[in-house]
Amino acid sequence: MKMNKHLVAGMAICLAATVGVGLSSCKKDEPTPVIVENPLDAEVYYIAGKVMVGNNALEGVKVTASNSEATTAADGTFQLEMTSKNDYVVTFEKSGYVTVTAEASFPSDAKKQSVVSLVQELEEKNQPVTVTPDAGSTVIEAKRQMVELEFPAGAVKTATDITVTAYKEGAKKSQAGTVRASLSTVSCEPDGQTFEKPVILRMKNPASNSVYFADVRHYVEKNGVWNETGTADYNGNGYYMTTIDGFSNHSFGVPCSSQKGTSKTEDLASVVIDNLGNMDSKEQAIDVTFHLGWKIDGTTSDLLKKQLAGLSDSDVTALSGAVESSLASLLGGTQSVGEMTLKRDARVSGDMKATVSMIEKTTTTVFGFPVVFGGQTVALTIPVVKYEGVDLVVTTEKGASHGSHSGGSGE
Amino acid sequence: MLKIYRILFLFLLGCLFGWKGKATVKEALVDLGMENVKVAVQAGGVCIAYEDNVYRGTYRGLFEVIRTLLDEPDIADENIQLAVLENGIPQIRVSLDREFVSAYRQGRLSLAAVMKGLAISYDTDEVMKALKGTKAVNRSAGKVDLVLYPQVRLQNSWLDKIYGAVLDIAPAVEIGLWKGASFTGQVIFPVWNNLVGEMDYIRAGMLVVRQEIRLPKNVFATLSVGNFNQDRIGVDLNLLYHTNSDRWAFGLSGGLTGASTFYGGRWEVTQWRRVNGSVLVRYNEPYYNLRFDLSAHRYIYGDYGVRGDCSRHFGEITVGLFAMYSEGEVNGGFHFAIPLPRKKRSKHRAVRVRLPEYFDWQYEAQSGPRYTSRRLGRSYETRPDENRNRTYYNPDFIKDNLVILAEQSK
Repeated sequence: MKMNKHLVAGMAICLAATVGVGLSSCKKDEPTPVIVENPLDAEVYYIAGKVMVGNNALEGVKVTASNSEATTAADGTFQLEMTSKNDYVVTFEKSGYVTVTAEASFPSDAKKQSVVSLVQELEEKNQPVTVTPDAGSTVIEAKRQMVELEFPAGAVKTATDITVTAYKEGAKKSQAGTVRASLSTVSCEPDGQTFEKPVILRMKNPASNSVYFADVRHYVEKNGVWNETGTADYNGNGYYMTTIDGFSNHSFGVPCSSQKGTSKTEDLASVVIDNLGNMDSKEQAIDVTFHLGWKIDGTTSDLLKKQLAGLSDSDVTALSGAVESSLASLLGGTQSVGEMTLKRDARVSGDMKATVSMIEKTTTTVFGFPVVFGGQTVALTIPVVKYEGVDLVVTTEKGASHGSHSGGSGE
Repeated sequence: MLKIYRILFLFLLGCLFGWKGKATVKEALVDLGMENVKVAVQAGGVCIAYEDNVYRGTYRGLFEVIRTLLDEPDIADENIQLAVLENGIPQIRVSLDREFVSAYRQGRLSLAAVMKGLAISYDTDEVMKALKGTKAVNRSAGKVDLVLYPQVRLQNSWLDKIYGAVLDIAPAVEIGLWKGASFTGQVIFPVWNNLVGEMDYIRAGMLVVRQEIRLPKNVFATLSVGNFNQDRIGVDLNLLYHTNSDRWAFGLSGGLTGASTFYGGRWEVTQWRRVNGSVLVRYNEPYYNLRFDLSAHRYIYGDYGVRGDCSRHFGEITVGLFAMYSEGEVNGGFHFAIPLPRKKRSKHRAVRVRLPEYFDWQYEAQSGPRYTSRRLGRSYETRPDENRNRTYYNPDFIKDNLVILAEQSK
């Protein structure tokens, strides 16, 4: 009986505690998972990259594509938010610099939130030079000193300030077939200036006479489109030559074959936002770090030596620079691979787990340049690896309080 | 004068039984492990009430009691009325006619024939009236059972796994307090699961104080307060009426509950705001031991529905199918209850450690994400040993199985 009293007392306390907890609770209803939209589920695509001047980041560059606009940060980075996976023309503008356009395109199988990387090098405009009608004159592009303009007397009606700046073209959309690779591109201002007499535009062959590019042509940019205007063949005396009758952007283009090779993907990292078992939603910032840029698969000099046996060391060095420069006109920037980090915010509903996988895509393209070596035209092939960007793949796991479908349950 | 002699004879008979036979009956039943044993002698025979917490199921202990009474030479050839108790509450009356007792003892009837001759009914009012005031021996109050409940949960609701599975062991302390009152305190220990959530934590299972009473005319009432399963906490009242033959039964139940959850390892309860209830009609078909349940529900989350069950009892194994309809969604499935070892448990220890008598499981097909998200058709149980075998005292079923046991004991 004594035991019963204790038991009764114990049970009474338990009962009172249980009832008391239930009756005194301030929560009105049971917890259910807070459902939120994860920003990473939104159908948004990004063009992100870096703008450089030489080896330095360039801040304050206005970057536009379609209706999206951004300005480069102190580290030269930018990102544009696009609403659909189309082909875009990206414009880079900054006062005092040559304005450049590049092409960025999202493949049809691009995932939501995928990032296409873009690197661009801008060039500060050179100081203007005055050309007078009285006498002929030669203007040499100041920085690289590869391009020269030879004005005959009377080419201009009046003394005219001209600015000639060699610059790097923007990246082009990757495509198979023959494309124009620019050995050198110059911005000539005032844009639209016409001449009374043909002006000779010539580009130095950095190598010796024993090796030069074949089938070089002159292209003029009009409304963002490059049009071939004639040949700019090598004159056998150190220059590729053409004539112009007005100013625009001019390019010495070489027909370059482009053969798409392999595409690879690599899992860079995964971030797990584990909110299983919790009914509140959870937010987490994610750093998306990926590579951008391109690199030659191998070393240019080795490739040249292998394919152009007997090429002198100085010609190897000179031709390597020319090849890499022309590749830059297709791929953007200069040969280098860097890293960039984007900040993303992820939100996960209650009792769910999200895994964000960052998958980087690289493509290898084999470019072919026609060069004349030892009197023979040789197709010089250069394999290039390009870092295309990164896909964010979000997979979710639902907790016990969610159900995706009904296959039954038992207990 | 004849009347006086008759009274005197009955008085002497009562004294004789009370002095020797009554004590013998009590001792014999207590030796069997029966609890809350009461014996009363009347002019028409002897009335006995007992509770079986030793033998598994509803008829095995009864069989042992009847056999013991028949084989006890000190018990006279009297009409025997047995009231079978559960937690001190009478469930059924089993009547054994003195003719059968006598014939069995003289070898004219087999044990199986005696069992066939039993009269079993849900009407215990008379026998309990006869036992009123009689002191019970070997009381069950204060006795503690530690019952180790295995819990297996499977759910196929996710695309990234074939089945979500949860395996727990949930020991429960079950204590009889006083007549009809009991306490169950259960803790759930996770063993293995491939889900994340409450199931990862050691958490409270059933924490229930329960009071059962039997009202006149075969009406059983149970009031339960505490922490139930299905993440519910609250109060539940259940009323069940059986006809004497238990061919028909009618039930009402209602509950007021809140949530009791363990998300993130924190025990959180909410206000008791959800009202549920049900109305039950039951028919027991005697030939195949089939039970048909038809019930209308207001389920936990406020949805209204109906449910039909068909269960068949194969001895201690029960299997069944069910179909239900709630808020435009159809569901269905199966359930079963199978016995767990052992048939007989220890009877003398202060704390009896054991497995539950039965393992029961229900599988429902459900019907899509809406069913899951809306939590349709949800109901709770108020005790961990709730299954279709527990307190299944259907007279036809009991008698059939007593006969089977008698035939097996030859």
